[in-house]
Amino acid sequence: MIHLDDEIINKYLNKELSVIERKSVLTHLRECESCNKQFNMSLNLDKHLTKINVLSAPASINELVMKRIVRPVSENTKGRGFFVGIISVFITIVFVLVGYIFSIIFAELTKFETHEELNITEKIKPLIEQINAVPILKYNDVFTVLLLFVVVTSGYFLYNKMKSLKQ
Amino acid sequence: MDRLTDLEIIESILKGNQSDFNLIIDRYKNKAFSLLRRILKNDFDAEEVLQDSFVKVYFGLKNFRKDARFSTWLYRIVFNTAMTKLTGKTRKKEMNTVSIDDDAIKFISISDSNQPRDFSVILTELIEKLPAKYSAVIDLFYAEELTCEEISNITGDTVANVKVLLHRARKALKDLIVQNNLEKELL
Repeated sequence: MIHLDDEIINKYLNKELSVIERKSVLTHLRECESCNKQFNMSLNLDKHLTKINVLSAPASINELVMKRIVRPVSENTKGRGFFVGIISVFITIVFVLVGYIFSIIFAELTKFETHEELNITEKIKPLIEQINAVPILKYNDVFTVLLLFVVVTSGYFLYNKMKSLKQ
Repeated sequence: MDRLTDLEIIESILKGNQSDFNLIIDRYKNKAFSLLRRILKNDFDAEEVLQDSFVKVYFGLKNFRKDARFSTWLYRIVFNTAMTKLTGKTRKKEMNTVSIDDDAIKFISISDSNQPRDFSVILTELIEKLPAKYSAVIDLFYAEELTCEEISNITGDTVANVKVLLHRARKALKDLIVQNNLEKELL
């Protein structure tokens, strides 16, 4: 007599056997006590498993999840424009500052390379007059201080914004 | 009033009604927590992963394909987040050593108690003693009432492998019941 193994019992429980196979299983179960016992154990385990408890999630889960979802979205929509604005101003000012510094260095180098041409002052005189015509470029020191002030202020705002986003 | 479908709730959330996500959380939190509790074996990790999973679900809603079943998609995120948590911790060893060919479940006794307890409570304890993938498959098949095809979509295994896992999980559970002299509960 061939006994039923777990695989056959599982297939029976999963309704994967054909009608003929199911009939032969049932016939065997009537004749074999040990297989009948194994089959009943599997059948009852299956019945018990269909009734296993669904565990309860902690009550605070809604609040905790919503807190994590809502915060970044509201902050983003409120502060995104300001944040982008600050970054744009910061980058623009850095570029202007770097350009300004380079122009000074370049001017110095030009002066050094052309020191033999004594009439250089005469040549660049119209240019200097043009520069002096723009008030902001005329007062170089004030312009530099102002630029530095804006850079530092922008940097400060940027730092604070980054800090608040990290929290 | 008819119960809102998952898709109706999702559409409302995507229109900007963030608070409607509470409905999704309410609908799935217990089932997802059960699955996580059975995979991760402790409340603390299960709660943490449950939170992470719901946050991932929320931010992934815009990528959800409406032709797929939402519950399957959600359980896949929950399952994958749990697996990431498992592999990231010391339990990595357990996951790596348990394959569908691994049949050996060492003897585990459940906590002794003089008080008579309901068999369903004991069974719940025994399921948690099973390796993560076995208890996950048991939970998805019996508690969540998913088909083997749906489970295969969640776990990434083939349908045949899911059936084998389910078979091995039942057998391991039966062995644990016998080892703990609880056979009479099944006769």
